[in-house]
Amino acid sequence: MTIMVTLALGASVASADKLSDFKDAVAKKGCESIPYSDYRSSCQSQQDQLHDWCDGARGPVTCGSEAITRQVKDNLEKEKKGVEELRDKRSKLQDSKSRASTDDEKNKIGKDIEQAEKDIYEGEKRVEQAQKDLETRKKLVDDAIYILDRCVDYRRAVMNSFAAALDKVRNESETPEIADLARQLRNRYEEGKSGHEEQITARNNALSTCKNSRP
Amino acid sequence: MKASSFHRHRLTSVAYLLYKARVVGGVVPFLEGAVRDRESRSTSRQPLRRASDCEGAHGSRHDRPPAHVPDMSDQSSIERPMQPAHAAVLEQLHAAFPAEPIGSTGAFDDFGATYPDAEPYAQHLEGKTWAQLDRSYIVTRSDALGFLGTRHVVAVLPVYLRALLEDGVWSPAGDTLILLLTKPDPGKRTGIKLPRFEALVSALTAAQRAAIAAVLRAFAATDEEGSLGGRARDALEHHWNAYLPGRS
Repeated sequence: MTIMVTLALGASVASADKLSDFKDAVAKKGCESIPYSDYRSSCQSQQDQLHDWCDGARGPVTCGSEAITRQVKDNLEKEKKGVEELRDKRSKLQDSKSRASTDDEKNKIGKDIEQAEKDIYEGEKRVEQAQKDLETRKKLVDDAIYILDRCVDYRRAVMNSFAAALDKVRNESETPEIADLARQLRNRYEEGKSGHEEQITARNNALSTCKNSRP
Repeated sequence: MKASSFHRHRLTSVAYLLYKARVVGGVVPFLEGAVRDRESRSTSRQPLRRASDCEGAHGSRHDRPPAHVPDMSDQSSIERPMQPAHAAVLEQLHAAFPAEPIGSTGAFDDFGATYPDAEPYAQHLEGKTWAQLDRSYIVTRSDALGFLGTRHVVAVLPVYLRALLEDGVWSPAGDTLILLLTKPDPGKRTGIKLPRFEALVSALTAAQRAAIAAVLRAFAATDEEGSLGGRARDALEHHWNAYLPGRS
């Protein structure tokens, strides 16, 4: 008899706790709207990670445009080509100088060679800069891909916390009051699902831009 | 010498693009030389605002602007001259979306019960006009667009449109905004759902629809070869082109 009463009292206390959890959940938003402590804390920890990876604290979350990579690469090629042309010009001038018959002519060509060498020096500096630009671009794109991948993972994880909670609230019917609150939560989770999906799609689109932006 | 001038011009434009990348991406500044060179030719420019300069100016950890997003409340820190066409579109945006205080009550009631940042976002909205909102925070939290009720989406939309116009492909909200504004094909399972898109369009005035179309068109023109620009063109072709002057 004592055991039966104890069991009945225990069940009643558990049911009251659950009702309280459900009332709290209905009154709140975000992870706090999950009435199960394990799913709620999982949601919260995933959400912290989501902020870290999706807000830019870890690094770039956008690669801009694919056109930037193309321009950086084109610029490097153009600078390299410019230096090659200047080297050809110098080589031709050196040939001309060796064939020049007068001192005046040699001096004039010598000055042109000097100018070509200065231009080559400047051109090489620009090539070096353009290479650094390309490395910078590559690093940004690689970083963004890595970060966006994780951002998407954590977005999915947060969404899955609600999906798991949704599965569980569907079966809640201990008391009519709990069943009613569970129904409200179920509707809210279902209505909120597309918001998470939209954000995952948006981040996947950003990821796709980055992948297309690899030098 | 003509060749040198050409190369310098090329370098300047590429340096600018990477400069932007560095500001948003927080990449090690390889371009110091090129940027210094560019800056030395324009003494009126403000020094680059680094992410660390912004820290501490905001509240909790989650309210803080991201370290790799420029403080967009101070456009002088961004080397991106406003194009005349963009200035006209910005004016159109301001005219279409009047500066009225936003009440945050019920902002996330319809779709946002599972949005983890609902409360801080609502606090940021409360009582402010769209032009008064903390742009850095709002743009960082562009995911809110998927969870806000339609009326509140309309209220904050100009902030995101302005960011797209002014920050272009570097706007961290670009993908989310363009997804929101893309009318979904029937049966499409990703992106915004058709009823939500239709509710949004219904809630907008004619002037607001035209302003959105103008922003999308202006943005698409700046990223003709990029995929985000392509998505903006898709959004125009699927719906918004109809609101541009001369279209029906």
